[in-house]
Amino acid sequence: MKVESEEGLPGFHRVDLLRFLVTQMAAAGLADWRFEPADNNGSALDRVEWSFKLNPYAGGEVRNLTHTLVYERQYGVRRPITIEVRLYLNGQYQTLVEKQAIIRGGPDDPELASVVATVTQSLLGPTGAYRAIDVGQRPTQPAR
Amino acid sequence: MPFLRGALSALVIVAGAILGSFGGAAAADEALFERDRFSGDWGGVRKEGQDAGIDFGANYVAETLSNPSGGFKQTTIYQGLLDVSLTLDLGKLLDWPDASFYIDGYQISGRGLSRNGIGNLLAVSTIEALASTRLHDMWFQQEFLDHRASLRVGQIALDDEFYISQYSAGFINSTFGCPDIFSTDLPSGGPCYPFATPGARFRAAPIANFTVSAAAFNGDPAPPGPGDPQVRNASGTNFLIGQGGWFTIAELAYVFDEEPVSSSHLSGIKLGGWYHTAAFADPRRDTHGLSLASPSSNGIPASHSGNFGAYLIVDKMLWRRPETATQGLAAFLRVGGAPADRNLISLEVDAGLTFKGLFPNRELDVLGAGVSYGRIGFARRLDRDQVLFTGIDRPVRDYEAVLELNYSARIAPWWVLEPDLQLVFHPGGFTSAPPPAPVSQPIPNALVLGLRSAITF
Repeated sequence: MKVESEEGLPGFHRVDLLRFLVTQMAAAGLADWRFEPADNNGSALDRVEWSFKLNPYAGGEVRNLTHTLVYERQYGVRRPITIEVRLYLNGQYQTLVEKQAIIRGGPDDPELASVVATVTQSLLGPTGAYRAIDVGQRPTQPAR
Repeated sequence: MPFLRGALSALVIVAGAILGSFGGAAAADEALFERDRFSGDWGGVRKEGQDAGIDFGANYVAETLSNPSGGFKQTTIYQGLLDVSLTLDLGKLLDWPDASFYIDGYQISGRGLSRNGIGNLLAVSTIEALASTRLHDMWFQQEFLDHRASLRVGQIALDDEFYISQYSAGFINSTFGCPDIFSTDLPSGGPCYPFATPGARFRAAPIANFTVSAAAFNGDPAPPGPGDPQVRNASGTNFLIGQGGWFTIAELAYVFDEEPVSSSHLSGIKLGGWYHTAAFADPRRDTHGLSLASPSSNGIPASHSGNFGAYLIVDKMLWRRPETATQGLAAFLRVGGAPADRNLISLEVDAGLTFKGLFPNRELDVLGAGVSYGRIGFARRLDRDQVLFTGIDRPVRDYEAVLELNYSARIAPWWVLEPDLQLVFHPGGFTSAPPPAPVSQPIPNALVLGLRSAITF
């Protein structure tokens, strides 16, 4: 299963983001699925598409007089985001899971790692959205 | 280049040795020039602290500036600023959702070039202040409505969040940060560097890309009395409330040009307005409406009830290099106005261009050119009156302007080196040079050369 991301996520370059997603999806412990980063040769037939959208945020800032790269590169503050994950099999759209989360961003963010694993479970796990389609049932609780 | 890199490494290593064991524990984690912060992750302690809700920060800015020509005295200065901060995530620490506490303090050393060599209004450095150790911010913040609103209460700095241009903030001249229409016109310089004052700030982001902010600050950061306000409030711990009226400000911001990889916004427009409730002295007229320069004047300036102003800020990415996140050419414009009958600077216009990644293999460096113009209010009429009434030829203040060329070289994620050049036109607004120069002689235009080093520990 290829892993793609249409949009980026603060704190990551695109290649690093796909690698991070694959690692955290694997950490969800779903033995039936194997994940790998998508290449740049168009969309794969079997794929999981991630998208991240920053939610309106009124947290504010403090002044930084140094302008070192670390402040520019690192997300640094917690931000609310909406995560959408779409599943495609044989090129056909199957289902969608959406979740809101508060993250710091970057590869060392435990909340982000946790939410990626949780969303993966919600999408592909034994009680996830795809299994619900598979057995003709809706999931008992929408993943929000 | 290998020699230069080696020399830089040696310099940093020496600095690290001076700072004791700061960087030692994490030395093996990442190469010195690859890690995010100079002192690394402290063997995992920093990350453990962040995960637990405790985030410690420290930055040191050091610079040397010189005016080889112009100003009232040619001199070279060194100035340093150590900024230490602590952020507590109260949600993690106390199970108090969406609440945080922030405190930071300054240790300012050395002396400023504008004060000691040039005598100008648009201070040539963002860190210029009297040497001191002082509390800066200390506030509590609560976010609510799904983080679409927040309330911040405590000791707050105006230049944390208001009148900010993302492309002008990298320049060294102070007016590209907190503008001089605030730091010159407001009592004691207002809640701008190095001051923060008690106040409250509300911010809301009702829909994507829009934020509205409003704040009320104590009117004067320093207690009344003679002398420099930075001496009157020498430690930042006066916690004055209701002193010198109230300063209120509101700002509407719209951001656009979302960069697809990082989701950061490359362009934006801000519109703001402010009101101060204190009484402000007329720079030209006395209480009878006569010129203060007139021999018939009682010498008591007329008083105006309140003060106000408005501003517009535009940041625009003009051209982004394909396949990059933020590299390219960007422009900024800041325009602020205030009544000329109660403000030394009645109009300030800042504009400039920045180019990130201009040179090959230096993709993260930023080259910037900025200009700032501050028009003198009715004080210029007072100067004319003085010439008229005394018959003594003297300069008539009209404006002060600064042209700055700056190059920010990102040596490492934690280290920036900035060679800088500034031209200061009409220092002090075209005012007389201090004695023993004759009163008819204005302070000459100044050339400023400098180098700044900024390190994040």
